[in-house]
Amino acid sequence: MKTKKSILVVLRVFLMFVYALFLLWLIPTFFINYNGDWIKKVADRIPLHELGNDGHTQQNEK
Amino acid sequence: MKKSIFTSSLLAFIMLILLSTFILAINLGETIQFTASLLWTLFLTFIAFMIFRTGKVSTYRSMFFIIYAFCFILIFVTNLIEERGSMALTAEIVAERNVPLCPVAIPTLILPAVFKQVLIFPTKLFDGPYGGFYPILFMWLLSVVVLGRGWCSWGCFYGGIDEGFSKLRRTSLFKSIKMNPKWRYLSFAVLVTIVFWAFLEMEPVYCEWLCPLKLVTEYSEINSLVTYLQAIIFISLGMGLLIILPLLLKKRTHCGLFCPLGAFQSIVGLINPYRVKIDKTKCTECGKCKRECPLFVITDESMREKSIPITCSRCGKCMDVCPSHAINYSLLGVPFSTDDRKLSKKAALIKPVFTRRIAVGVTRFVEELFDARTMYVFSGILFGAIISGGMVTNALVRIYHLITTGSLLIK
Repeated sequence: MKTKKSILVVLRVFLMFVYALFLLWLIPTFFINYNGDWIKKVADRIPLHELGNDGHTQQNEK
Repeated sequence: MKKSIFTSSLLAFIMLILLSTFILAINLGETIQFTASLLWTLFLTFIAFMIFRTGKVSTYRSMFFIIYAFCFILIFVTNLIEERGSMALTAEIVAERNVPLCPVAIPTLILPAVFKQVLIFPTKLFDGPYGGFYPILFMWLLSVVVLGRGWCSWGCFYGGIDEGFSKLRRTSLFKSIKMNPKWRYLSFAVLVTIVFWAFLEMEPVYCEWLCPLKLVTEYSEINSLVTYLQAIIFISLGMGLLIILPLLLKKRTHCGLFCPLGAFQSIVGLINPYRVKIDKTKCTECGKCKRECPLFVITDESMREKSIPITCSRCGKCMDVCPSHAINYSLLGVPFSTDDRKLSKKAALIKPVFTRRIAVGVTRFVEELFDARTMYVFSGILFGAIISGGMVTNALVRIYHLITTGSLLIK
């Protein structure tokens, strides 16, 4: 039982550090693609429009 | 909490390589531009090395953070004057949606975006100033995931303004005055108010009426009683929260008491796995962390409970001043301990001398490299460095231009 618990703790610690490393990796990866295609691809799926001066929405020109 | 010279040098070297890619490589064209970016890259590498080597997170972080904020003001205002002739925001600029998205306005855009599918801020979705809505939105989302509320001490280009003024005096003028801890919730009240107000008006009302940062950015052209009133409000709030109160109290009053993005970041930033924790076995309740915390985060109550509230911006000040080294960064799911030499201490008990030396060296290196403090601080410097790279380089070029030609304007 104790061994099983220790393995779980080690596994949890390992996974958290993998996650921490992933966050670290995310920073350069994001800034390499800043304003790049992948953001546009994601944004295409979001139904958001600019609000015009007249109060009506305008379709974004991509 | 200090790292060995080997680990500190290795981390600084990795930082240098990454910053060369993000700051140097994009400024290869002109000699002055390249020299400016080289200076900033080397400075940031030095900051990274010193934080790891000395263990003083806040001392060196604030050097970078304050320079970054003042360079941001310099380039932002001079860019506005070059492009538009003044800091005033005219109706034509708003109609053209030529306004850079301010991250502070992001919380107010959520309800209109979700319920009416419209962007109420006058910026372009793409290809606008500084990238447009989506790139800045994704950058902010990244900051939430990577830094949490730490955005306020590592990434925000406004944060260094009140931090800078709070550092000018050696001691606070109002040491004996006890502030009611309920004031800490003011930023949450501002957040709730502006979120619903913006939804009802379908306008970025915070930017129009309350933002103290207008003092150093752009503001509505003063041409009516309403815009005149707005100007009086933002000048008063800006002078009070960004300059006068930080000077008198030695605290970051805008970030700690007023900024709605800070409050929002405290809540959404909970998805970030890092925290700041107090080691219950080491804390002597001396109260130094409470006195020195620049964002009014630590109170008598939180000190008694030995827990750090969610509003912590992870600036590292409490860690620097704690006499018993009881405060440190931690990673959720990993047992917290301020004793960061557990494995290498065990390795030191190994009998054969040669094996012991190798085991101690390797375990100590692994412990230093993969502890929560190293990972968080490295992420913080890297994030701030990449965003600040272009701004500070541009500011240094403008300062050079000022010295040689007498003007900050290049165009």
